Amino acid sequence: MRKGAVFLVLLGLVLVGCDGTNTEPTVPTTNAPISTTTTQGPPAPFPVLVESDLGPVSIATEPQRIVSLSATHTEMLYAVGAHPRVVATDLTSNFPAAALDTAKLDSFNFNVEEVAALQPDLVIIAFGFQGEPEALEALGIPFLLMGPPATLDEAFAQLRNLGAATGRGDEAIQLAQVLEEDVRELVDASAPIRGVTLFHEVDETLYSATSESFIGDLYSQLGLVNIADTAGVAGSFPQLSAEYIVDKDPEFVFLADANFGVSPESVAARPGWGTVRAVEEGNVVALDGDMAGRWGPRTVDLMRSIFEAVKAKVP
Amino acid sequence: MSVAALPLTHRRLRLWPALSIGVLAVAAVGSLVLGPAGVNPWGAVVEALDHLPLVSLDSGLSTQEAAIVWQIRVPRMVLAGLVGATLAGSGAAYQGVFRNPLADPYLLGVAAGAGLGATFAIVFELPSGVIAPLAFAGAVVAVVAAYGLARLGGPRRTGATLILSGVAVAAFFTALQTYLQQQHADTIRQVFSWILGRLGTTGWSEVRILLPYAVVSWLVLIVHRRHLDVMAVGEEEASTLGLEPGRVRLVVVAAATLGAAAAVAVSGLIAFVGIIVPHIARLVVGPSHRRLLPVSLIGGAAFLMVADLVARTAQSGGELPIGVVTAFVGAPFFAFILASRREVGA
Repeated sequence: MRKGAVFLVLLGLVLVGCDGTNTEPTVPTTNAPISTTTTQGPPAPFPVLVESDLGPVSIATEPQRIVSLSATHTEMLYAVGAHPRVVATDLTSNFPAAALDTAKLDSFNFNVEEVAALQPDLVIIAFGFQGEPEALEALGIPFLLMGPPATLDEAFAQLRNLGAATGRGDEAIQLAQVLEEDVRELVDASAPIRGVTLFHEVDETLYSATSESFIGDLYSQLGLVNIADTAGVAGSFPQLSAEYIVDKDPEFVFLADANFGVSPESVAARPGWGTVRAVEEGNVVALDGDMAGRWGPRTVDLMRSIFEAVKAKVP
Repeated sequence: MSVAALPLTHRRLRLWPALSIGVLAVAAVGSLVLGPAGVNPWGAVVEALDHLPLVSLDSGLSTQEAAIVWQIRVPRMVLAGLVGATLAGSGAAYQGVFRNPLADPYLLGVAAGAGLGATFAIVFELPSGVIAPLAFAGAVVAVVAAYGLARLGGPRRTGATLILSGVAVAAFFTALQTYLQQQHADTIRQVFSWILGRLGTTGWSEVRILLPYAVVSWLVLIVHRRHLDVMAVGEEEASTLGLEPGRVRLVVVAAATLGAAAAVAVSGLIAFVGIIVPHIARLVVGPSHRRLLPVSLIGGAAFLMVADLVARTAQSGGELPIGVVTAFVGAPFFAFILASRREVGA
């Protein structure tokens, strides 16, 4: 899947290059590369064809006014060095801290006029259920819909696509390589923790995430056994019953709802949970709620924190 | 059902309270022994009996199985019973006092007010222990506001004025709730979780919160059951019979609201119970509140216990929203009762 996506990007580049009768001379970018990497290659040529959830999108010139309506993609834009051209981010974009200083939009209450007023030449959205694609299309604003992926590989493909779309293709490819290498190291080191059982808590009413979900993919790559997989409920985010969880007796509980007042102490105080191994052995782990809800470059940090939390308790 | 027909069926009517208690007992035992954990059923019963005063038995269950029975299944069963009884009893009372078959415990703004209170606590990230008290407060404030608004209409206020005030207050509170929710969309998931009902994660603490309100509510309604029968002939007729309709209405509505508000505060909004159970009860025992209220209370408890049992066992380790089950089980059951009564009564 990832390779396919990268291939598409490259194919787009090649097709553009092969267009032969290229009338425009290569325009040197006015923005000097910000990254400290040693790449000396020419800046990615435009127009460029990149994959989005709505199919391939052609981006005519290097975007100079980028609006990110997704915290994940804000993190990606900063990580690949496209941030000097980011003019606005959404309210949930709180990382890196510099993103707090950009103009702010409320992506949960999408207002296309507000977006248009910023005169963006590229808008990144992670969801389209408020009619965002249609509204942006109608106003002729170029946009990329990049929704939640199901696997890490898909997330890295998205990173590469976003890099290509913003003229930071090389940086994105390099970053993705580093992240993939990190993941590989974690997976290689996972032998001692394979088979450890866990419950991942999405919210207080015991919604969970199976291995089919993006966050579940992190656990399953580390060889952890997710009790939500065997609950016999359809879908990637089943609501489990407390009785089932207590009966399954997971060795670890990971809380993605720690931002909302749930803590290892409050879990231990729940009726019946005192007998669960994770509680008895102090293995209820609060995850960083932001990281757990996103699929940006810090996902690997999240995966590492999961790995280390389990590793520390397994002889 | 005509009054003249009553004596003929009188003997059969007497069976209904006993039958509803039987259904309740079956529902309770079912809730105790069934569940995804596959605890030995006999052991589960013995474990529950062991916790009764003056009883000491060895269930032979492991610590974990004992915790599943006594800390998860039993409180959930008891809470479902309390909530079901309270909502059904309140529904029957509201329908009686307003002489309106479509009245339910949420009529005067209990749901909207509780929703606003809970949403307020969630979006401003108050401690989770504050959600239930604020939901309760919101529900009570909404009903008091509805009463206040009706009073503005002058001294000749009737049940209809009060219902309209309730509609206005509910709409206003719902608007506020929706606004708050939309302004804090990052917590929308928790708001919806709360609204969908949360019997699934409850324990004895919720039972302790609800119990006193539920019992007071039941007792007041039971005491006033004959007054409700008098109200049924019409407000003016009732006052000629020496009853003060306004006062009875106030007391009954206060008791029903108190119970419904407390039930909603601990369990979220569980629809359908408050309207369907009293109607089923009315179809089987007739319109007199002397039988209707007790049967609604017992039937409501049994109904919600069964619904919750379905909610937590239909998908092995998963959980169905309780409101989905109450409607999915309740609507066909209601249709069945309706159809079978028509045959008998024709």
